[in-house]
Amino acid sequence: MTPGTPPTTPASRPLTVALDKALDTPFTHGTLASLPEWLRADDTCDVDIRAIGGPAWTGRLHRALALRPRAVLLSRPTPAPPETVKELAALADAAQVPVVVDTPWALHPATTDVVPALRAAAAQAALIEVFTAADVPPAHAFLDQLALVRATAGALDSLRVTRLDARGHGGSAQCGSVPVSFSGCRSGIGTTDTRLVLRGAGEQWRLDFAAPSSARPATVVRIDADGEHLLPTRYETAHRAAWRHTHAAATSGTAAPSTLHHLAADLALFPVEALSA
Amino acid sequence: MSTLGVGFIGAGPVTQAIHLPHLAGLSDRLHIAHVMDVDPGTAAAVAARCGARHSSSVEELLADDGVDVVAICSPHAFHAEQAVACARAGKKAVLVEKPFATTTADAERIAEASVETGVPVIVGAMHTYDPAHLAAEEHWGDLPDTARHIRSVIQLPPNARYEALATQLHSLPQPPPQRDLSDPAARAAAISGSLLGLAIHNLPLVRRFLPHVEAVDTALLLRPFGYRVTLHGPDGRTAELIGHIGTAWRPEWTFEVWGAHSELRLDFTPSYVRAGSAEATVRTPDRTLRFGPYQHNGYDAEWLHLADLADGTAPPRHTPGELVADLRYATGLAALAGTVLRQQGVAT
Ligand SMILES: NC(=O)c1ccc[n+]([C@@H]2O[C@H](COP(=O)([O-])OP(=O)(O)OC[C@H]3O[C@@H](n4cnc5c(N)ncnc54)[C@H](O)[C@@H]3O)[C@@H](O)[C@H]2O)c1
Repeated sequence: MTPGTPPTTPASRPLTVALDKALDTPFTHGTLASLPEWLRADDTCDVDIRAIGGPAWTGRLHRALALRPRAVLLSRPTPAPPETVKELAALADAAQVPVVVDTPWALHPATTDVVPALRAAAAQAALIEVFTAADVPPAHAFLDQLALVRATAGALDSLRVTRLDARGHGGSAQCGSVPVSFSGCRSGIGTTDTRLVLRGAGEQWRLDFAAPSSARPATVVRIDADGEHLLPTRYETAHRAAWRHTHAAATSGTAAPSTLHHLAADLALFPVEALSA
Repeated sequence: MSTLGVGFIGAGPVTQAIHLPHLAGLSDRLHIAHVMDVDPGTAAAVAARCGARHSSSVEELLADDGVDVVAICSPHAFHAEQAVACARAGKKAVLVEKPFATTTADAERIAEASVETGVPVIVGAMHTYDPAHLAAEEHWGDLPDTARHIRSVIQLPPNARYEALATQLHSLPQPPPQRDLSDPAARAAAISGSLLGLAIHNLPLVRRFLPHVEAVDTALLLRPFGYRVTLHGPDGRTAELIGHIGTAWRPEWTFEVWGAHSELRLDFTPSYVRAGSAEATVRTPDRTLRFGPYQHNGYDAEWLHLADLADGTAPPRHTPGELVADLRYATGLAALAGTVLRQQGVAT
């Protein structure tokens, strides 16, 4: 700006954000700082957006909805009973409070960019497989995988869980007539690696995600008769994308790609014993 | 220096597309002396390509003093009987293409003949000889003890894509018969065939990291050809085996292990083409070691090992007992997967 020029007024003031204790972290602050025109952590005044996260989140979300914020960001929810989540979704709908569910792979910009093409390819696949090696509780990794497959391939007809314990998880499902396999292993050495692979007769796809805590891009490759195409890289975390969706939901009522209804549907497939994991 | 003479029993696609070009590339150690096939025309045509003698009976091949090493590349069902005959004939070394045999009892007969005669017998599990795999093995430490999860993926285009790059086949192989997968017995046979035909390449590696299979948890047939099988051991370690042969050109042949303190990834080159060794990675919390690609692939290394065995300059890398155990593992797994598939639905 040339000295003396009056500052231009931003189109609108940033929305104020109140963070749950579990989200009051350098990571969240670093993310909010990348959207300074839109969002500002400040709970000393009227709060526009409430960010909920951490264990026992259902009670806190319930209380947050009662305060009628303009939107809620629910970050990395841990497994909870699907009926409770359904009730919360109904409550949010009744209160007209949009709730964006922050999930690391389904909301990743690399995924959301290619959803229509992936859906078309998934319907032709011989196998859709998701694998995760990460140092996170396997039930959480599994839930994140379900969200990813729902976003990219569609709703699952059934889920058969063959394993879910402290060391990993495994399961298989059908998405229409296409088999889907889920597997994961708790990494002992801090690896973070999630892959979605579509194997099939037509196009093959491969999405390789890095750790959700950094903006290292996912590698998205489409393989067809003409070659292996690396899609443009997106240096944005799913967490930042979740904040963008939350801002859009609060200001223009745009529906987010990941909501409480999606979460409730994924949890309904989960084994009961894993719901409090 | 004189080179060792190799005799082939069975001169089909594997002999023509894999072994002949690989041996030609190792002409300082080995040459092809004799080609036998029950089809005399095939034997003569393939022998003519490499200036070898030919015949249509195993007896004639074994009577040929120019044959030091025998490679058995006939259909599975003949492997055991022919391997035993080669050992009894006192050849210097024998390569049995995979699978070693079709039953554990037959594999034991081969092992006994090898031990009794002192003739070393190895199986054509080329990846167990891959130089990058062997280099990684030196550094993977306690990973076989601490392994938690194993992933074996073999995604290939139809064989013809690579066969055509490796050779010009004398005659085109018959396409596999159509499968009627509505029949439970046919499903069981199909998964068993897929595991013993394709997955078997990685199964010695799987056994290394998951030595005892407690159960097969899921078994699925993929279209047009393939499988996904998951299994676990008594201590809770798990493995998933994925194999798929479709129409897409992109190959993936990987073997990965996640353990308590380290992780392994082997990225193999496809069969047929002479594209060098795998690339191997061993990761620990503070460093990543990489091995390969090296010039020789597993087939080259397998043949060089056979030459060393025939010359008496190296001990067998895998004992006959281990080869029997590998086959027992594979057939046991195939039977378990067949049982699961008989009970479960089928890919549509
Ligand atoms: N290591 C590898 O990468 C690899 C790859 C493919 C196949 N293989 C194995 O190699 C073997 C041969 O495979 P293929 O694709 O060439 O098989 P194939 O069945 O297409 O050809 C086998 C050949 O053996 C001949 N034959 C039939 N009966 C015989 C007998 N009793 N004695 C001698 N010859 C006989 C046939 O006429 C034919 O020419 C199989 O056991 C297969 O599992 C190994």
